[in-house]
Amino acid sequence: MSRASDADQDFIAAAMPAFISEAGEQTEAIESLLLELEEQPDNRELLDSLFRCAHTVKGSAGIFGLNKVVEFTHHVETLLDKCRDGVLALTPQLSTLLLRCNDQIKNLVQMANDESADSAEQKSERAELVAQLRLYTEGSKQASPADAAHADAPDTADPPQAGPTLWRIKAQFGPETFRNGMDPLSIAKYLHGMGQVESMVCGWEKVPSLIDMDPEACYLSFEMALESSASRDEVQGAFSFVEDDCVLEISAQESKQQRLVHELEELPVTPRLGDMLVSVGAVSQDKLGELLTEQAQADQAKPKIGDLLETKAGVPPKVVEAALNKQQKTREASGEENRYIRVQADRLDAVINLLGELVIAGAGANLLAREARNVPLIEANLHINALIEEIRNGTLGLRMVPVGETFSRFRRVVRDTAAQLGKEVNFEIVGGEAELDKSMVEKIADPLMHLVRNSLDHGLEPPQERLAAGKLAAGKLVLSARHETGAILIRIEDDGRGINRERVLQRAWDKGLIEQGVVPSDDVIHMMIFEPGFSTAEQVTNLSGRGVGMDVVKRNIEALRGSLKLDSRPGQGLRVDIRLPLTLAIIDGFMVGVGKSKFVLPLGAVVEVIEAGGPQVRVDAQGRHVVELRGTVLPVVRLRSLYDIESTQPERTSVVVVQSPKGKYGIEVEVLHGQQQTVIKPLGRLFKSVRGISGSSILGSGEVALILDVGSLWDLATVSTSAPTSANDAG
Amino acid sequence: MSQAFELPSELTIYSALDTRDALLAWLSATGAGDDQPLALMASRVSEVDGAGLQMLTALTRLDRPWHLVEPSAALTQACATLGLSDWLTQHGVMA
Repeated sequence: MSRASDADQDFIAAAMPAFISEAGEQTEAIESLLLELEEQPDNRELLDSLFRCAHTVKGSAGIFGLNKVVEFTHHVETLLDKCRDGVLALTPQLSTLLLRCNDQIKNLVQMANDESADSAEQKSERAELVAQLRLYTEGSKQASPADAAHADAPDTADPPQAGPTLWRIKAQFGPETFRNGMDPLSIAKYLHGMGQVESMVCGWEKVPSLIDMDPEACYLSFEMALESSASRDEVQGAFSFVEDDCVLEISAQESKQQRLVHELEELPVTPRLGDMLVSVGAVSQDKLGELLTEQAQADQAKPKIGDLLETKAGVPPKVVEAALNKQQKTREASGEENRYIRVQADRLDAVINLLGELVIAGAGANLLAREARNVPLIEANLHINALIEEIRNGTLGLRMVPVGETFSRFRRVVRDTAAQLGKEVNFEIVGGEAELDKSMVEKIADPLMHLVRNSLDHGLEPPQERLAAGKLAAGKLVLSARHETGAILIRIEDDGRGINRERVLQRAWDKGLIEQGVVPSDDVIHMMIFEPGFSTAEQVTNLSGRGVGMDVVKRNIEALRGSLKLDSRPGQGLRVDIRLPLTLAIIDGFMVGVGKSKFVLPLGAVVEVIEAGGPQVRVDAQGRHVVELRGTVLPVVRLRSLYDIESTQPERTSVVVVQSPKGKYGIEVEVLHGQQQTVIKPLGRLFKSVRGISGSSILGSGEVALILDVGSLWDLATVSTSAPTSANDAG
Repeated sequence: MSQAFELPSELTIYSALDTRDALLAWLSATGAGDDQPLALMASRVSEVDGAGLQMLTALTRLDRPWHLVEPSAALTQACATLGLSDWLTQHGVMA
């Protein structure tokens, strides 16, 4: 790329991040494909995709002049090609080697911007990997000498040896040919012996009339099409004695088989296998119809039309394969490539921000229209707001990615970690298609990784121990995701030993996290493992157990407005539930008012509203505020007293019943403003400590509304004995 | 009625000069005014090479119709090998 002009350099610099991100995705795909292949080693499709991924990385790296990536990936590609040809089997050892190679490709891609980052260690590691790859590829090459011969053939312009080549030979013999004892006829005879002559035309245009001719001079020429597996050199050899005196042209043309293959590739979009083969004349329309009927009539195990074409219609397997490839390519071209546009995340964020402002502005216009009591204007505004909502949903949808992408990354971690720890584990992923905001997916990956490792390291027992406990030798680890009332629930479940409650408690006492002798509830004890500096592992492994991490996990999840819940069954396993909001940007809110203050509740959390005039809030025996709803007593939070709101209290209040992850409770409010889209603005540092508030929002009128955090308000509702109470509580 | 020309059994480079002379002599003997197609007996041809075939193609330059009668197997085979089968179909006549 040294010859690249400045413009090229600019382009490369601009496109590099896209390349790095795409190559990153490819290497991830390679990894998950390799792992899937370990389970289904005979899956041809996976192998093909694997090859394509490696090929794509190599190809795009080539565009960017990343020679190291190209060179290294080339070896991997060669090996994969051997696997595809069935020369090599994808054994677990080979798979491990390829995984290591993939790591190196990842590294190389990361270093694309800074070649100097390449350390000597990595260089030697790569050299070693290449040597190992060679061992496989060259070992197998010896097993098939045809390949080796071809690789050594000097003329690389010839088509690959996929069967015989159709040689097109043109020879104009010199006048001295006969006198030199040579004869075009005997050369032709010789060539006939080398293969199948598809056509042979003698040129005698130059032969003069009998009177004018010199009977001993040669005027002849011929054009021959010869299908032969002979090399160019061998064909040329037929002319070796006349070469000096002969104009010779030899060109390799595709053989009939290759011609069919090529014609298939050049076909326009024709998705049906049979039609493709008919249009190039590999099989007749009638025969195809026959086969299709046969296929339709087969009751069980419908034969593939491709197989039928091969076995019943005598279409060469190579041709069917080419047709299938074409079909696959067509599908990919119409599917994948056209379906995706790569957009920079910050551009999308900018749009979403603007949309947030639009929602606010729309609410403002709506408010003005209502105040003006201008009915047509109100209607127009309603329509605009409905459209804004649609755009909002659509745009937020753009950010949504299946959480499974992140999950599948863990397969490798689980595999490697389990092997390192000498444990056996069956790793299952459930509900990977549940969608989550892209930024959330990225942020949740690390905490999840920690939790998965933790389960492997501390949760699952070694095989002997498991057998002794009457469990299967292989542990089970399930990572699942599903949507749940405006949130996503990610669950990591293992069937290991669970949390050792006694040891955690002892440790908490020792560390002074809990006062000596105090025994809190199990939930509180379990959550201790998320405290900074806490680890009960007797022996610190290099995976987990240093007590660094679990506290970070909790912090990260809380920063995403998520919550963590542990469910430990001693000796039977541990379940970690992570609840996360689907997006960080906008929520559907339910606005309520207390005095002049306005609050927003996430609409998804609101179960029902007890309007003024229904059952009233009273104080129970422990001094907690409660409300009775159809025979159930629910704790109630009084926002007025919680946030010390000063205003004249209305005679009657309403209660909004909300569902939190921990249970149902009521929030006592004075005014119900109704449903409203709310753009979340993070709270300033000053307000971080305010309990029960997760954010703020600016209303169309310019007022600020506080967004209530349903989860943390629950704690305030249940322990409201400590909350200040006012004089007229008895309702 | 002109006499048919009997092609020699050996239609090769070695006899090329002689055959050409013989053919020319025969052509002038049959006379230009004769509209009868010229006939060349080819049943005896047992040995043929490129030069021999080339000689026969030169006959095509004549402005009179002509044909090969009963081309021998050796001749037919040689024509096929050198890509003159079509040419032979035009000029060959089975007796």
